Amino acid sequence: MITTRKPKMKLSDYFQRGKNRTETAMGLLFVLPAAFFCILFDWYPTFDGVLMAFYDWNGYDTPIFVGIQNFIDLFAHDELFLKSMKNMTIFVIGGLVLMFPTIIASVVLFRVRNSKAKYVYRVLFCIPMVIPFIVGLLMWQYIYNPQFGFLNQFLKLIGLESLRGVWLGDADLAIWSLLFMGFPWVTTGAVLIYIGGLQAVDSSIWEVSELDGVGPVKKFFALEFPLILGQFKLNLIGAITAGVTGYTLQMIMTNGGPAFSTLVPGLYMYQLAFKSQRYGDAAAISIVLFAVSLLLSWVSIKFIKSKED
Amino acid sequence: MTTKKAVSLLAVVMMFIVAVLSACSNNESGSNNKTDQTAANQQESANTPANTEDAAAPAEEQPKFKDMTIRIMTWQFGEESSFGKGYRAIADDYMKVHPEIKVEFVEQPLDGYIDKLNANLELDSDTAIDIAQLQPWMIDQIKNMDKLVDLGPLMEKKSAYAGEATWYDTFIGEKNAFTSAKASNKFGAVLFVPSDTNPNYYVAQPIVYNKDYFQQAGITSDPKTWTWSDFIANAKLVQEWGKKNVDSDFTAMASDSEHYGWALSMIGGQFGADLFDDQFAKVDFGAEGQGLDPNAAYVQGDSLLWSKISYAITHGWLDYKGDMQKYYDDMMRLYSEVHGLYQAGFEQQSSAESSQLFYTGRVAMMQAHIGSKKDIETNTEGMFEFDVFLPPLLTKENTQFATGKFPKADGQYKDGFGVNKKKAGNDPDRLAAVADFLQFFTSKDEQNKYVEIANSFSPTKDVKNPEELMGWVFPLEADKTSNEIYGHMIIEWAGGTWPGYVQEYVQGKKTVQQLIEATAKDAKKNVVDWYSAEPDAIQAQIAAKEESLKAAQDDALKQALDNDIKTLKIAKVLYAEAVKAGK
Repeated sequence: MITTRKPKMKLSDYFQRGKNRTETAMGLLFVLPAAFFCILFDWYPTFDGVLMAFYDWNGYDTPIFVGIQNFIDLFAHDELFLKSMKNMTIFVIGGLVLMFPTIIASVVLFRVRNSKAKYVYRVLFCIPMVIPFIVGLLMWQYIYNPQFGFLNQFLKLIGLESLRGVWLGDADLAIWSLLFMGFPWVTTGAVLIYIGGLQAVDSSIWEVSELDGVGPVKKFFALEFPLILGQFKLNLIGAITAGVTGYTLQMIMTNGGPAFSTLVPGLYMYQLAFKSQRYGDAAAISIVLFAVSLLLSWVSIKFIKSKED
Repeated sequence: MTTKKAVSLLAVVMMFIVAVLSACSNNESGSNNKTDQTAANQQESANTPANTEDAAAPAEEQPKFKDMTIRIMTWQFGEESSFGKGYRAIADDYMKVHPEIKVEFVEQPLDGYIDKLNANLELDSDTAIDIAQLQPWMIDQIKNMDKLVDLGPLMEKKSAYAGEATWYDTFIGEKNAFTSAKASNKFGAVLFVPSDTNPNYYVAQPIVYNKDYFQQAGITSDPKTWTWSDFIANAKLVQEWGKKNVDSDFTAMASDSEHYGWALSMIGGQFGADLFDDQFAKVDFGAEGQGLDPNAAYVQGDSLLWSKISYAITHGWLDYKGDMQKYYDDMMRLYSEVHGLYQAGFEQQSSAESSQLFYTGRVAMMQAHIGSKKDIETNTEGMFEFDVFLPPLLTKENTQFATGKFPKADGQYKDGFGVNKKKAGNDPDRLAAVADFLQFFTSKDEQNKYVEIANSFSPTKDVKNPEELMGWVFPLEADKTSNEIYGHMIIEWAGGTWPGYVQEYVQGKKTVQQLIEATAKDAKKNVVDWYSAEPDAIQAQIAAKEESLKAAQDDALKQALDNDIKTLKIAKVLYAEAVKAGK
């Protein structure tokens, strides 16, 4: 069989052709401002940050090149960094486990057939999305207040006074208190993504499963969950990235305390850079976080196969 | 639309965007269109005393300034604080004297203040601030960045509102009260005009207490006479009473994350420094010291206090070993006694949350500071009576290291209002107006009014401080105060990590030894980082002062300069040694 291969067009060929040349120039001109600002505000700081990880810099004196010393210091001498990595691991694992209530809730809601009920739950799920994240955190801070907070007051009211705790002030409780936040851990954005995924599945699959008499549990494991693996992967990568690099929750709620029990590398990086003016060490942490996040995301992409893969 | 037209339109839009962005980056009234070269020249000239000397001409010679707005950043306007009212009153008076100048205050809460400050100090636009209120730690962060105007040359000149006196002379302690401020930065510059302070008063963080609760708990003695042991015993008494009669969660005191170091300061501030001084006297200053006597007054005096501490930290004198073990064991034992009086979870609570506990009667005492007096009065009005007492005195009964004295003020200014070099420092007209405003601000007449409105202290000479505030400062009697090195120095010098280490100790996750080792390690790193660039800067200061000494005519000035040079030489040796030991 004779096959013909379309010859590759060189960039210079475009400029040889009058109309194409103008169109290309137009295209480049439109892209230019975005590309310029992208390079200036995204790429330059990123590369500068990578470079800074190999320097000792306090923010104003001349940076001193120290090679990989910042990384050696972090892993060999920095007690707080190692502690923060341990805390990060708990947050990442906790975050992954707490993805499942959302999946289960999505499947249960997908099974609701009543259109009015569907409308109601969609509205109910969308309302929390308009409440700023910070407001939610401050509400939880109030809930956990040991003297005035709802949680301790409620426990006292129902006669469980002995269970009252210093939720955010006890080094042994604080990290679990932060993980408990958001109970019952149904994330509205993720629910909408999962339901969207389930609705995209051909309805004949559900009809066949009903004809075959597949039970609700088997239906979840054999059909529903496998069919939304693509969406799960998307949310999984988001959860991993948030768990590894995020620190808003810890900064607002506990500032990494008490006794560093909720300190995570992202927050430590922020504190080193903006409180202690140790920009080189902070940049080194950012590189470590990037590497960890990349590795975990790659593993999840590699080993979780969705129907699209 | 043809392609050609589209390209032309896009080019016009791009040019417009570029023009707008350029204007935003330097919108100095649009009329002051300086070239880069001019700006560079002005930057250079702002670094020299000559520039600021021009601006210091008294108001009689320059009665009018150009029309302009002076913008002042402060954190003192939250809920119209008494300080804010005082500042506004001075500004209103100034605008009557100088109607061509508008004074605007830019309110910025302390949370995030340093970030906004740093951003503003990079700008010279109309919206950038001219003056910023600064706390000591803020000055510490930016002192060597060349972002603030050196006000020293202006201070040497006559104040426009003090007759023939120089601006320096209008302040309590005069020029000598700025020695530490000048020595602390590598330019030898005065980076702020003091405000709301008296350098001779050691302002305490006293304890405010609910008089009704004390009475009901059967406490009859006057807390103002209490020793440490009395304080702990009575605090336990009122705590027990409160648990039975008020609430099972009742505690003696309220504290919070912002005042975490208060108790450590209170304890450490009363610890003697004998162990430290004995070792310091043995330091060999070698050739660099050029024959300076380590026992001379300028070495033993206060001006090298922080240099001595940094030297001690880097040389391991203050590690947990030898005699220091008992020192730190006692300190943390005493700290634990106070800690047992606080509400549960105080480490993670804000100042506002802990104050609520006091106002709502869930605690009998709380730590306070001088700025909170008005708030306490407002929030307890009609509910209960309160009074205040100074932190109690440690005695030998509590620890062998107790001096039996309160901390003594060091007579030095540490904070106040700084001037944005990029904006005011580069514009002689603006700098003149800003300096004039600050001279007006610190004038005797205005400060007399200010202390009444703000209920604050004044750095200006002959201003009568409010009587009611005297209970909030340590007494001045020489036999009751001492200027000892703080015992908690390593812990505090660990920078931002020390509260966490102390929390670990308090929650049983670190021993005293582990606490001291962790903080000493961080403190050493900080000291080396801070001072690694200092020796060259100090050498430059020594050279400048030696030049001044050659030209000096006045004997007193010669003496002062000679003393400064000796102090700087010692500091140079200490910094270099500290860096060497740190590495």
